[in-house]
Amino acid sequence: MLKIKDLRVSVEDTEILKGVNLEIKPGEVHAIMGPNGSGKSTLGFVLAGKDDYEVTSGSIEYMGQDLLELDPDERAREGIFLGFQYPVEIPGVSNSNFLKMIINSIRKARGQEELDALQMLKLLKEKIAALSMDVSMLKRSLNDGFSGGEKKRNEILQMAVLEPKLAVLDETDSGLDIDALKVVSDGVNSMRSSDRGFLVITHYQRLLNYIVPDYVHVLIDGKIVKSGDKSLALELEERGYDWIKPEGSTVPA
Amino acid sequence: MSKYHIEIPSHFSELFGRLENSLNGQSDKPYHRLRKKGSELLMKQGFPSTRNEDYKYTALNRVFNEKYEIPESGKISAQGKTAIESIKKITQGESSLCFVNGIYQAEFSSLNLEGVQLIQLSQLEENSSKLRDVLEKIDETISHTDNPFIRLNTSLCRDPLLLFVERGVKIDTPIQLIHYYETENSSLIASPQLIIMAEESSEISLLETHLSSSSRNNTCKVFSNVFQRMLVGKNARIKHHKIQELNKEDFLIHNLIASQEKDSHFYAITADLGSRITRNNLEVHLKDSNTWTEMFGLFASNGQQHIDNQTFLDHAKPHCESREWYKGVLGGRSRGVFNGKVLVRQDAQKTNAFQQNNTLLISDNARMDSKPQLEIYADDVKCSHGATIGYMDSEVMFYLKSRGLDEQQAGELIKIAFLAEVFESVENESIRNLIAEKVIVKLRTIYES
Repeated sequence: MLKIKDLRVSVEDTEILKGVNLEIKPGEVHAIMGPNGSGKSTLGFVLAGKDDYEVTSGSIEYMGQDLLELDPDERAREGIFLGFQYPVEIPGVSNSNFLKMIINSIRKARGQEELDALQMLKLLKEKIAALSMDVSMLKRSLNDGFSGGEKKRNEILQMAVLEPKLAVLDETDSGLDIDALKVVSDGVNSMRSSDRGFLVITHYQRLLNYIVPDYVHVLIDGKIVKSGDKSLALELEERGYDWIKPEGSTVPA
Repeated sequence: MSKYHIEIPSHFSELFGRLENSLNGQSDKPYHRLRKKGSELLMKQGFPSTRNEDYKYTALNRVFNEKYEIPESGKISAQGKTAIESIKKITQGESSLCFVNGIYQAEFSSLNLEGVQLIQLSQLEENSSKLRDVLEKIDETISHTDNPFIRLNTSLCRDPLLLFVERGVKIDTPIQLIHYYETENSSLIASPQLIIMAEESSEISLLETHLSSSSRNNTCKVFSNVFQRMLVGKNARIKHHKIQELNKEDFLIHNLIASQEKDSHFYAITADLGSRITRNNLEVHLKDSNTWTEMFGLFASNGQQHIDNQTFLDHAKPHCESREWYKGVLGGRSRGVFNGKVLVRQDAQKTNAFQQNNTLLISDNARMDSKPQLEIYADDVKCSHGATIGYMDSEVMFYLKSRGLDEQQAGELIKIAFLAEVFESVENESIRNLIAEKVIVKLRTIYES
């Protein structure tokens, strides 16, 4: 469903991604690991279509179309979801109104009927309970004053109601204690299915104990320098990133 | 005349004489002395020029250059009647005072609230103490004000009104002040004047709307120059809500002076959506301790609109609390001005004052001038003030789009959210929804160009 070929991306004239190749098939969970500053979040933002990221060469094909031609909102309507590392706080927008708005706008785009108030409430209550969240968060402003854990759960809640085809989760584990980590992981695992792909971006192996990936890729200095299965994550946890670096030709040891 | 003023143009100075000639028997009534005094003081003072610090960002030449007629009473079109009836529905029309071109229309008004009286000053006995009290208040104001528009209003006011709320009377349903303006072939100056006396422990809520008819020769303009004086008695409460939706060629100068006695509460919100130029002069004087003052403002403009909010809050006594928050969204080539001054006098210890102005610019050609001022002479106070002027946050925009909202939906959400904190201050649910609804409709028309 996703084919990234030799992707090079610059931000303000600095090249961040230096030729990334990656293919994700429906039903697969891929993990991207790497040290800080290796370009992990950039990859997430480029997939979601953020403005300041300039693709200088390469291509991204998603469900048979050129992803780079689509605006961020079109990508979302085509089934791409980015779970933000730092979700934006928007005072004045009620969480419940926001959720209703995005659910119906996505449903409309998919040619489904919009939900009425009652159906909406039922859906939200069900998803909120599944994520061990308090219903009162619906009344609050979107992410406004939320703790780190609440923000991440809210991201997973949005993912759960939008039912994307490809979910990119950027450092969803950061700022979570172990209980919250389990809840969030359960939320993700319950959505795993044969027609949905996941790209899980993380710094630590810890998350991958809960969301077990089919493939693990190591991103260093803008390039995927090693790929393997879940055992690669365990090896990284034990040995750190240094031992891989020499394999990447442009990375100084 | 100081260098900060310009001479009153002759087409303005003639207006007083023309009104006087049309007053018939009214010109020997006691109020006429005030009209005369207002006119004389105005001639001496002149109109403010942009060299005047408080008018630096608001040039009123467009208002001064226009030649106006003084409206006559008793005429209203069928279209006007329909418009007024539909505004009345907002509060089921139980208590509404209607003004056409600034003149009170008794036959379209109704007020059946026990303990609340609407009095036309011309109907009061010449030696009644009520009349004496009111005239004294107006005299005091026009003598001491530095605001020429209050003098202009008094000199041209045909039918001054008193709304009197008796001691202990609490009215929850809003009393509507419906201002409707219509003209066919000439520009008009409207000069409504209303004094509100809320006696000890009384409570009222007001909903003031300004709307003008669009069917007219499009070179005609309406200039509404309002003066309201509100006296909030001991432990009393006045809540004042205003929605202004004038035509895009019209002018509004809205002058409101409130004074608060001990333990009283004054709440004011203005939502300015229409007009070519709006200038709100809001002054609140705290006469005694333990008062609570709230001043809120919303403005949303596009095209060539200019909306200026001037506020002055005089903390003269201790243990008083105030909160002031003005927020606006500017598009097109429109301009906004906020000039808010909070004065905390030496006696006003334990004052708690908050003042804030935030503006969201949608267009590169829109402009906001903001001047939050805090002048403190007491040493044991808690005061804060600030202003922000900014563009739409691209991070927020991206976040919303990444959830499938298109540019327009996301932009609308951001604009509404930006103003939400202000309209959420409205306690009355139907008024809050009404303001929100009007603001949202207006926001949909605010774009970059």
